Amino acid sequence: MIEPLLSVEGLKKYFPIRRHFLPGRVEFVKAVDGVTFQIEQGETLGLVGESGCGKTTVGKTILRFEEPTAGKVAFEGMDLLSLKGKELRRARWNLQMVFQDPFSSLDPRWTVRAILREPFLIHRRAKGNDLEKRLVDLMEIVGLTRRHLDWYPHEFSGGQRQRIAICRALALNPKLMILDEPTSALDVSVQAQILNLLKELQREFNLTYLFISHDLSVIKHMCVRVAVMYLGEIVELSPCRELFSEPGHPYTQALLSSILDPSVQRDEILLEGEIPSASAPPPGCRFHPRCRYRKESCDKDKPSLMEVGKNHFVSCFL
Amino acid sequence: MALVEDQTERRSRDWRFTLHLIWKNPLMVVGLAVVCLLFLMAIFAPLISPHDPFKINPPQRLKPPSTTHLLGTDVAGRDIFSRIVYGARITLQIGITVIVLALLIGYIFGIMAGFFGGAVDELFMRITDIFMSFPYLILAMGLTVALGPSIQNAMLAMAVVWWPTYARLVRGEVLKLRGRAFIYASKGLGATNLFIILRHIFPNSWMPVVVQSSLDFGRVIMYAASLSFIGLGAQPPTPEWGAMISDGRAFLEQAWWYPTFPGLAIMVTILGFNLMGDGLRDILDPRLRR
Amino acid sequence: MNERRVILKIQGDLKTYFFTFDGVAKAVDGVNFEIAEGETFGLVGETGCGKSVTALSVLRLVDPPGRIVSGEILFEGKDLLRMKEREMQKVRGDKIGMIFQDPMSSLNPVMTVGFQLKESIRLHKGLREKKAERLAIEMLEQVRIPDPSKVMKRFPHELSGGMQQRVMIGIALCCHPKLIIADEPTTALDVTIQAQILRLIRDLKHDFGSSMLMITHNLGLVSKYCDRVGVMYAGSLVEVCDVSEVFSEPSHPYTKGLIEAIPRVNAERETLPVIAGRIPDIINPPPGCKFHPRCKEAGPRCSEEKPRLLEAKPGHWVACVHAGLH
Repeated sequence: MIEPLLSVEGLKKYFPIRRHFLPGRVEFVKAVDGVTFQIEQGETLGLVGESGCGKTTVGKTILRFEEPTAGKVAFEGMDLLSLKGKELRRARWNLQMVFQDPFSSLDPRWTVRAILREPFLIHRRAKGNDLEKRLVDLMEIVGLTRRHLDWYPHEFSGGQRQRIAICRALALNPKLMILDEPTSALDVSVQAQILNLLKELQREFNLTYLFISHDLSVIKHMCVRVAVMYLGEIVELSPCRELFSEPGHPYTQALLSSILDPSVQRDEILLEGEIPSASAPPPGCRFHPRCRYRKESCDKDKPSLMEVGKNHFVSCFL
Repeated sequence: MALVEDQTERRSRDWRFTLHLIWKNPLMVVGLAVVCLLFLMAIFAPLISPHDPFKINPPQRLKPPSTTHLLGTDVAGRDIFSRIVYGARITLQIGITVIVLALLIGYIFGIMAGFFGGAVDELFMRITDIFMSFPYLILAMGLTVALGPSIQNAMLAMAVVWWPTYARLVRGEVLKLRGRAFIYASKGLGATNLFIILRHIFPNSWMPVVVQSSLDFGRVIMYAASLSFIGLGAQPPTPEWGAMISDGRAFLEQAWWYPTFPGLAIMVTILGFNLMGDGLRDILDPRLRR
Repeated sequence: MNERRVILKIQGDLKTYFFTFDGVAKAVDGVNFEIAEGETFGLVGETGCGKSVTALSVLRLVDPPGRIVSGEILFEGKDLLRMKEREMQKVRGDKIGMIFQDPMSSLNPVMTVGFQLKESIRLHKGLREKKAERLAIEMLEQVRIPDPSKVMKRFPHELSGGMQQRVMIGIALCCHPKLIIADEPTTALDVTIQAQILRLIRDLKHDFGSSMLMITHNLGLVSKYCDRVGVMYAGSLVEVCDVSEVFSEPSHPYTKGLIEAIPRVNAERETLPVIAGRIPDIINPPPGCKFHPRCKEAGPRCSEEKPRLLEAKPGHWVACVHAGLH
């Protein structure tokens, strides 16, 4: 049995809400509340959901930008959460992230050359001429030129900045890239360029992606398997095509119906109400207040992921 | 794709734009001019001043402005103009020392608090609260008295009183930066906290602090003059402007030039720094919003 | 379409230029179109194409260094650009309502929701406190906010994004305007909330018999909620037609490219077809047709003359020499 490249089990991240000087129970924002999935080498797993569902927090916690409250994260079989100091920093070579906002993911005071040298500088592999050549190679891979090395981030467009960010992430030859809404801030035509680039890079370097997005059309284009998140939990996990043709969870169905795609004629499922706050999630099944199929028991017991089809898991009582 | 020429064009355009902004802000130019003048006076004091500022000349005491003594003489016959010129040196020394010291301490504390947060931050906030609950001047006075009246002690006291302001400012900037994606990116590449602080946080946070400090220069000078005025700072025969006013106060009726010119010097200097600081703030801020 | 009254008619080549240090940015560079009564017109384009500036021009909310340089904006027959500011203020909020993109920055954070609603009502309808209060609560009910009397006392930051947007819609529509201008009304919202809000806007528009100018970058949105669409590129309209035709028979190369670049749920493609190049500099746009450097079908004429928007088929206008016109 081939080991998955990344394995996440029961991941939880709670943020305490500080109440100044009041003793007693502290409330928590349960941003991620028990998330489990695996990603195989070379695969692209999509993580989709709306704001507050915890998808970005999942990414940040895996990379230990935030420390998880509970759960296990294993990369190539190795426990990521127990690493410290130098080991952790060394392990980071393999797991890189591309962020959503191309405007704030590059230090405005650094030239592109400095930005791309940073990974080498940090790990003391900056060796003169060799390095320069490597930088130029990297730039060319993402479609930029050597001249751009001397420019500053604000002199580039959004799409170009994102390319630089991707370039930086590739510098240390990572195995896994977590892409956090990499094209959400970009125009349609630029998005197409970046998505194509990402696919090409995946092929060429045998990369594995965790693709986080709220845009289902983009997910469909990029991903092989998808996990749908709602209020900190995964409510459906399925191969991509099946998710779109036979969505199991009512929330997934509502999400799909709200896609604005001219070729799709879907009955609109309008959800009632707002997305609840993650500090006070509804009891039982978290989706039940907005679910059009809700029954008596839905607010008492919590459903868990059950296999409804080949590799297709849904967390619902139906 | 764009050519290399494009980039040099852009850089020159940036410079032209800065000059354009400076030009549009005439008051700032005035401020800059005053500050430059001050620096020149301080640097070239021996060349500019016609007389020895310390040389006592009793027969010439309390003489009004004339061709030999441009701004008159003081009670010991010393040339006021020369003393003012040398006073510029002292003023600048005090201002720079206090601010640099305060910036150093303030920066370290501010970055610690802002970057690491938690208990460190809480502790820090309480300490600055304590410092900031006293009126600056009173605290500075108290410290100077405790340490013993002298220019050095006055500078030390002022630096101690001043650093919390910068620390808070820096902390604010660091808090803003901490959540920016490029900080996480750096961490994701394996950078240590120290690396991030030195290479990312510091270069992105110094600007508002520098602006604030140029605005503060004027106030520091005023406090220094105030401390000297009440005898806690510069001691005689140092030609510090505040001390000169204090000396000259008793002679206001007979020799109006005695306290007036040092007073004017202080006023013009503070005004100059304030105008420059205001202009600096205006130039640096909106420009960043491209 | 000829039978219906024309509510808004932009003619005479609307041009709104920004006079900056770096030169003149031609944000809107010769735009003409009209909206009939009850119609929803979608103005579509990518960042920097000038669609938002067009909307602001209609309301005369363009700030210096921007200025409307030429053109006429006829609203119910009267030219808005010739009106005095006082008259214009009566139009804004009353006859033309505007829904902005980000409710958090368009709602005043230090005033309650109720206050802001009543402000608009009192200004335009001159009602007294009690009547204004009642109308405000009615409006909140119409935008489907639960518990309206409680929400009246809330501050904007206490509400969720979707609720804030509903409040904004309430303020924009409280005087039942004849024309609603919506500038990316749902871009900042979650997808499921987006669906709710769009449905709401459509229903209200229908109830009030208003026309709508919907500004968005999302072609999919346009396909579902608009009757006609205008595609903008670098300050000019390149194609104007019925929504059904824009997807079945797009004529302008930019429109075609844009449609192809959208990832589709039903089409499985390995790579997305891409429009080469980048959006041009509006201070120094390319000569002739602004799109020609990126256009696959570009020919020698394209760099020489700027194509005008001409009617290729009834109701379908294209600004391209290759659309078989010239």
